[in-house]
Amino acid sequence: MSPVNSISARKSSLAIKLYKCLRAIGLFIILIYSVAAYSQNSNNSETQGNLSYPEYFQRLEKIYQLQIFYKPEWFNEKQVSSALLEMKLPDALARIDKLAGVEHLFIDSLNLIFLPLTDSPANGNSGGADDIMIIGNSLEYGKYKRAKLNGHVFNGTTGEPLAGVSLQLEHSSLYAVTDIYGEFSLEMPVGEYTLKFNYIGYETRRQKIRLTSNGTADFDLFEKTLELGEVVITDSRVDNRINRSSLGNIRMDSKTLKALPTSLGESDLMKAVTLLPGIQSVGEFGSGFIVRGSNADQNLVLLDELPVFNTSHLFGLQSTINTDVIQSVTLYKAGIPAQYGERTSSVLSIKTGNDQQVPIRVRGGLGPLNSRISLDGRIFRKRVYILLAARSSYSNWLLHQLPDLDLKNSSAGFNDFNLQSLIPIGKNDKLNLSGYMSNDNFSFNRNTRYFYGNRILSLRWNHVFNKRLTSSMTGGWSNYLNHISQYDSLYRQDGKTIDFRIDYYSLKAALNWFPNAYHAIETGVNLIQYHNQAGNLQPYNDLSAVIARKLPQEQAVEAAIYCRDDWNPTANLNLDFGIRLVRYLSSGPGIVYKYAEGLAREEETIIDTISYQDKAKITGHFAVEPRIAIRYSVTENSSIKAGYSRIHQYLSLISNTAVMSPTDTWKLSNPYFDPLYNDQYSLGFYRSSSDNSYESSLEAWYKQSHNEMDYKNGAELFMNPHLETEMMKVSGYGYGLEFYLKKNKGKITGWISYTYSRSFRHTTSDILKEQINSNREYPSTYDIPHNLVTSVNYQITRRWKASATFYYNTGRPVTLPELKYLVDGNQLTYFSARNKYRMPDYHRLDVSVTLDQNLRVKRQWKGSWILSIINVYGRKNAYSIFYSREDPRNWDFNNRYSLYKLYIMGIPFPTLTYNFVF
Amino acid sequence: MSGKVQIFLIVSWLFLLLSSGCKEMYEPELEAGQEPLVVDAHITNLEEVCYVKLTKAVAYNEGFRKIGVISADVWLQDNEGSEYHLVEATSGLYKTNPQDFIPSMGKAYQLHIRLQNGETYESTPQSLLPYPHLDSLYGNLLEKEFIYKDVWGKVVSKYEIGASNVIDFSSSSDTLLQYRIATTLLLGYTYIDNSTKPYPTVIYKWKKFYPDKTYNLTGENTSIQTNHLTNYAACFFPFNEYLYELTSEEHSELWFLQARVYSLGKEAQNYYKQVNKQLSSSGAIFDPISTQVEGNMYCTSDPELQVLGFFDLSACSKISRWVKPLLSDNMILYRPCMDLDSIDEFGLTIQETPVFWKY
Repeated sequence: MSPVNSISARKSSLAIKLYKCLRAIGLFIILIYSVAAYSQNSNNSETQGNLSYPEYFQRLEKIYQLQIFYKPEWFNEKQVSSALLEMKLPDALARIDKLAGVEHLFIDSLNLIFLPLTDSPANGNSGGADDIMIIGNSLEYGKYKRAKLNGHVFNGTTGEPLAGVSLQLEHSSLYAVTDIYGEFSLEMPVGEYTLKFNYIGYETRRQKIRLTSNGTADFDLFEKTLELGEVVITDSRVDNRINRSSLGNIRMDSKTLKALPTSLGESDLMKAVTLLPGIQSVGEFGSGFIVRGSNADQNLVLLDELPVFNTSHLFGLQSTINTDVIQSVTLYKAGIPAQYGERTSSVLSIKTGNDQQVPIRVRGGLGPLNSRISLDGRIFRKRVYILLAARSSYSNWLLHQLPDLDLKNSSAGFNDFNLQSLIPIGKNDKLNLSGYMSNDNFSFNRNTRYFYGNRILSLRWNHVFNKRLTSSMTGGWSNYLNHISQYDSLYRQDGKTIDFRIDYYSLKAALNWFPNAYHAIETGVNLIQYHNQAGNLQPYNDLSAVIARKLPQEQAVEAAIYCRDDWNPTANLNLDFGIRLVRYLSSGPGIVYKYAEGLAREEETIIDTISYQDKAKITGHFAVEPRIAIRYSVTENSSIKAGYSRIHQYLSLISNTAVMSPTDTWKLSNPYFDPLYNDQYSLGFYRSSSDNSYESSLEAWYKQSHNEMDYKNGAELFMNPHLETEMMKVSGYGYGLEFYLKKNKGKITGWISYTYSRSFRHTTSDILKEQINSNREYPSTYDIPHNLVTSVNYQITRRWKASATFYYNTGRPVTLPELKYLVDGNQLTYFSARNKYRMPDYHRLDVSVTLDQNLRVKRQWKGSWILSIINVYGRKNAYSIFYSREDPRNWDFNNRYSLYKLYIMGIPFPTLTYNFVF
Repeated sequence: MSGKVQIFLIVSWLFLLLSSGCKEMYEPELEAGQEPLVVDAHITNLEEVCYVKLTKAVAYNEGFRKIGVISADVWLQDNEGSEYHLVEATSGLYKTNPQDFIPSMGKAYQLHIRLQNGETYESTPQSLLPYPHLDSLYGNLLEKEFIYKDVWGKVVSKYEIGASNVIDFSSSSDTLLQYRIATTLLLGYTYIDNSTKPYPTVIYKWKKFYPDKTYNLTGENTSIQTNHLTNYAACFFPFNEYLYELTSEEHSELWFLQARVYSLGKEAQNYYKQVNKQLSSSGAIFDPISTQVEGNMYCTSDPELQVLGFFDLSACSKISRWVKPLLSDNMILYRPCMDLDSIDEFGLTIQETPVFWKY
């Protein structure tokens, strides 16, 4: 074996460097705070002029951190002076009310709604007012002249309280507005009245009442259409696809997500994501997703700001995130803002919980694979929001009941749990505690068992200094582990257990500063510490001849500071630019092998072994990541956007399987695994119709990736202490065009998404053994030129809805055998050049029919049924193509080998799911 | 809807979901250019005839041709320059002469081939490592779940009683070696022909089986780090006659087992591991992607020319045992027997027990 050198005291201490780094970051924060404080006291000199109402509202949103809801037609072509931006908010809003003939209502401190002063035609539907509701004690009628009516207004469909509902006594000036808990109070003379309820997106309700004395009454309102009402609000917000500067940015709230076609009877986040342009699944029910031809490990999936390492249960049948707990999802696939780094391809940020939920609500679902239940609402005098959710499968029990041997001898199951609590501390501070745990287990036979799971814990503190300066600080831990045990009574000496584990510790601090109406500045620091145990092999029991072996634990720190400005230099131009500086340090203990110059990296060419002691620096890297996104509004309804970003990635998934699997391990950058980085350029055109009925976009992109790793033929990755001998550095590039057309309104809604994209790679080594296809360009595994998704929803009646989704994409590249030969009685094959062939094209049609919950007002238990059929015409889409013995398990002496296509679903699958809320 | 009906529906659904996913034969249009030479060479230190088989690879969608590469000049050369030529025994099959050539421990050998068309090939040098010392072959009765096709072609599972055979061996080498274990099972069975009157005729039959589905390599599990292996699993075989395709009139009589243990060099070890990966691929979702098997042969006349296969030079030891199950005592008796290599693959004798039928 090679000689061993020890490097210890001579190496500068990593701890000292970290200290210096932290000190620099601390000074940076102080500097930013000082600038912020100075800026608050300085006078702003803003350009005077007129703004359209959407532009004006957009700026108000930035200045006051508000969300403003309105219908564009209420403001039409009107303009407003930018001088209003300098007025106090209440004065400015009063002025707007007068100028535009509207009235404003604050739902809470963050949400503002504009309503027309007179009924719009859309709000003109009358609810039933025939039945008179008696409120108060009838015996006391005439005893009082005036009485107080207290009550709540709820969404009659979901039971959620509605904030900002306007109640008016008809033919009177008396009115009230519900608060964030849906509560109202209205004092009036006793007698008979008609109460009129107005709420945007909901049917107007008129209710006759007879008020006899002080009393309470609750009322339900219903959306105009059960799903579309939500979409109207979302799309009417200023913050839509046209007016955001970032490209490839998609946001969905929980209801939009649930309105998407279901998979296996329930909405699923990861499958919903793959319906969008530029995003594809890794395979039918595969784990993870592909964004613009990049590997699945280049996507950062954040759950309340902490990464989720494995996003799928049961080999991809369901995502690990329970959609019942999702508040909103934001996906960045280009123009990724400077506050995000770590992964080069995309960021999927998931926020959980809904602190607007006041009464304790219980929701759940009974599906064919699993059941779920969640509870959320406010406790402790309605101050503290809490969310508890759990899901569990029963597939394991069911599998054992089946007559099929393959299934009988297998087991598969999962569960996951969510916890969240939002705790207000005083007027300006809020704590958000979030926890998550998922567990999966399965075995294909009784000899090998797999277990894997995520654990996430985070605590965020939000602080509001004033209306122009806010801050947040998040600390958290994310962990992913998998455990494999193998034991066969026939091969007792081989019994073993293998454990992999990665721990991710994170500390984030951010400041948001709104110096004036034209700038929104964000700056902050991210500190990440990685501990990666890439393999721990232990004998299964005393009979095992396996020698215990543990790969050295990899350790590294990634520190980043960033600054970003969202700037509106003119009414039509928006610039979102930023910079992120990243410092990466990997440290001991660890071993680095030295290889002979000019020879392929192999175990035989190791000439030296360097051992690093605890905390000694192994490798360091500094990166500058510029980000810029430009938006130019051509008209009020159309814009052109362009962007550029560079991102570095220091953690990669080591996978040599047909699809990304939960048993894959992670690898940190080291002297041989240079940090992966890519440069992405994007250009897009976005347009929507004047009433937002339609929206469309066309985006083109080009990206170059550097330092990606690909595998040598037959690479041995398992418990390999020198993975660099099995992998090769490759460069790559990709380009694509994405088209998206969406219809938002009407009984029929839906979208068409088409993507043309290519992704290529090539090696550059002069050494034959470190070349793929003799350094010639080859398509990456995820080079999928054509991808089409069309989805249509038809609202048949208020309660009945039908939807259909059609998918098509070109088959993935694959390496197939071209020759066969006999050696020692075995039929072997010689495979083609890497990824020379393609799997058959993929296409599938899914349909579903939903019978939504009963709309009776007083009904406590509300349930809905979803009948869906997946793969309507039963296409046998290829999951993988492989070369195999006819049936390797069989006890026979044939050596017949063939090429096979594995498919997951070969027939149409009906599923029936029941969801409930009470 | 009653609870029972609900469960039935869910179970049926899951059954449909999971059992409808399946594999089917896939026959894409494939390109195949040249048909490279295939070398299948196994040379051992035993006093036996060793063979080098030369064939051509064929396009994946075509059937195999039965004719080998004929009239080639095939020889072995040691690191001292001595050459040992092989003679063509039959079409494409070249054999050594044990009287003339037995490789020596510590020496390195290269295989050279010159084809009729002038193409020349050679292997990388392969050293003969120390051969393993076989201590014993033994085992015990074991009931193991088996999956196979029944008479109706349906895949079924049954627990079968069989012999779980293990082997003890060691090496005097100072360095850690890896080994390959290959087993041969010989089943002796009888058939009584009642048509020969007045006395029925007893027909003694035998045939060989190779229970190993893939190469049994000690280094497959890289964690075994000793040259002294005990209780190492050699193979398992069941005693159920049905599994050996005997007719209802044929009855098993005797079981013989031979184990060969080969010392492997690094190149051979890698080669067999790659072959195993290809052979054991079942298309399961976490299986590694397709494995290209890299051999140790090169074309010297045209480096661009592809050549497949492997030149394996291994030190080998072997052991043969008669295996008698004593089901009532829940044990198996192992006794020395004749070397199975000296017995044909299959054969029969009439009325007279074969020479190896004695124990």
